[in-house]
Amino acid sequence: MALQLPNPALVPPALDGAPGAIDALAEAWLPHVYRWCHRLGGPVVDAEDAAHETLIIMCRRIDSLHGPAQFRSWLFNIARKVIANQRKRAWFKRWVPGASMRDQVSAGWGPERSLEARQTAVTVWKVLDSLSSTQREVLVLIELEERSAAEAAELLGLPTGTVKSRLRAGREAFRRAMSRIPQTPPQTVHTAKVS
Amino acid sequence: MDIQRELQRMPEPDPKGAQRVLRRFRASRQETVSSRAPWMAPALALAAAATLWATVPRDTHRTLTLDASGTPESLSWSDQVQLEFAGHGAVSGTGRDVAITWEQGLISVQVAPNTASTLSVLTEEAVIDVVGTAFTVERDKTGVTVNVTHGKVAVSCRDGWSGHLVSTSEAHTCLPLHAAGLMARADAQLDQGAPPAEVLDTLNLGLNKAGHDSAERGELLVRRLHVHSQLGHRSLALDDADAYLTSGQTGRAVEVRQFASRIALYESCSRAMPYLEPLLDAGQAEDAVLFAECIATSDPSRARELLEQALMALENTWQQRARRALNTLESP
Repeated sequence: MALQLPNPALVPPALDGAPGAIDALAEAWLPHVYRWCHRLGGPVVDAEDAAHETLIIMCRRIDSLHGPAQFRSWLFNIARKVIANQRKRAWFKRWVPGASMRDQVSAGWGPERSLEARQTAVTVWKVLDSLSSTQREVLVLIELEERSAAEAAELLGLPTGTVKSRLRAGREAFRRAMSRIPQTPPQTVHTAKVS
Repeated sequence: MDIQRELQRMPEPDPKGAQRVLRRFRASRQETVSSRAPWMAPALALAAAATLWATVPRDTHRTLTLDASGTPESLSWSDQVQLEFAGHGAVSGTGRDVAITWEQGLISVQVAPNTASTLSVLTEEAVIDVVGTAFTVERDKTGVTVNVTHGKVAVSCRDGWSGHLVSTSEAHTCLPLHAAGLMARADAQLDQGAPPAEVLDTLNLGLNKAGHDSAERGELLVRRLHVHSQLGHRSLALDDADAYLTSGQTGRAVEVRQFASRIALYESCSRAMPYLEPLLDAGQAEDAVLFAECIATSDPSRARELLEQALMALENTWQQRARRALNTLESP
C-alpha cells in the first residue's frame, strides 16, 4: 500500500536553513527511504544502512537541490546511488543469500512459517535482482508501492511514456524469470522431542 | 501471473528497522549539527508581505515573514489555516500543506478539521505536526510550550527525542537544547518563583550539556550552588562551590567563596577557612571579621589586627560584630 507522502511544505524551510527543518524533513521521509532501500536493494543490501546513508547525504547536500519541486526525485536519486554502491560492496563481501532477512520474517512466527516465508521472499527477491535496475525500480514503485506512472516518472526523473514502456518490459522480464525458477515444496522442519 | 501479488509475497520492511534507522540518524545528526547562525527570513514588513500575498494565487507555493512585536496580528493563510501571532517566524507552503518556522513569541494555529491539510510547526526545540485542530505554540526562555485548544497534535521534542500526543486542554513544553538555553530557562524559572526542585532539574540538564571547561558550566554551578543552599542541601552546595573554584573560571570566585563560607560556617570554622582565607586579599572587611572570629583562639594577635583594620571599613551590624569580637579578645 502506498504510504502517505510527507508534508511538501517541509522542503522550503530546510532549503532556507531553518533550525531543525532539515531533520524534520529527513525524519518525515525516513519511512519512504527505508522502504525504497528494502525493496530496491533486495537481500544483498542492508536497508537500514542504506536508508541511514541516504538521509545523511540528503542533509549534507540539501544546498545542491535546485528547488522544492525537485525534492522527491532528488532524494530518490540519492537512494538509488546509495543502493547501487551497497550492491557493489555486497558483491565484494561474498554475500550469503537470505541471511539479512532473518530478523524481518521470523518475529513472532513459528519456524515452519518463517522458513517458508524466507524461501518465498528469497525467490521473489532473486527474480527482482535478476532484472535490470531500471526495470526493478519501475516494478517496485508501481506494483509494490502502488504509485501511479506519473508519480513514478516524477521520482525517476523520466517521461511517463518511458516509465510505462519500462513497466511493460519489467513485467515481461519478471514473468519470464519467475517461470524459470523451479517451484520447490515447502521444507519440513524436523523437531526432536526430549523425554 | 499476478505480478503485484507475487511481489507482495516479499515481507514488509521491519518496522523496528525504521526505528533503528531513526535512532542512528538522530545520533549522527547530534554529532554533526554545527551551531549555524539562527535562521532569519528577510525582514519584510508584514503589511508589505500581506499585500504581496494577496496578489498570489492561493494554491501556489508562497512564503511570508511573520513579524508582530507587541500587538498580535492575524493572518488567514488559506481557507483551511488561520494564524494569530505575536512574535516572529515565517510561514511557507501552499493553501493545504504548510510549514511554520517559529523563532520567538506566541503563535495560535487553527486548522479546519477534515480538510486533509498537513501543517507542521518547526522550532529549534520541537516539531509539531497536526491535522485538523487548534493550538498555540509559545517559544520563550523556558522552551517551547504547545497548548492544544481543540483536537490533538503530535509534539516531538528534540531534546531526548521524546514524542508526545497532546490532547485538548493539555500542554507540553519542550526544553531548550543547549546549556545556555537551559541556563536562561533556569533564570526565567527563578524570576517566576518556580519551586527550587524544578529549577534544580533544569540546572542539572544544563550541566549535562555544558562543556567541561565552559563558561556556561561555571554559571550553571553558581546557580546550582544557590538553589542547593535554598533547598538546605549544604554539602551539595559546597560541592558546587568547590567545582566552580577548581573549574578554572575566575569571574565569580569572590562571590562563590563568600557564599560558600557562610554555608560552611554552619558546620565549622575549619570547613569555612579554605573559602575565607583567599578573601582577605580581596579586601572584604566582612570576610575579615569572620576569619578573625575563626582564628581568635589559635592566633589572637592576627585576629585583633584584622578586626581593627575591618572596623574602619564597616558600618552598623558588621561594625558591632567586629567590636564584640575585639572585646572578647581583650577580656581576660
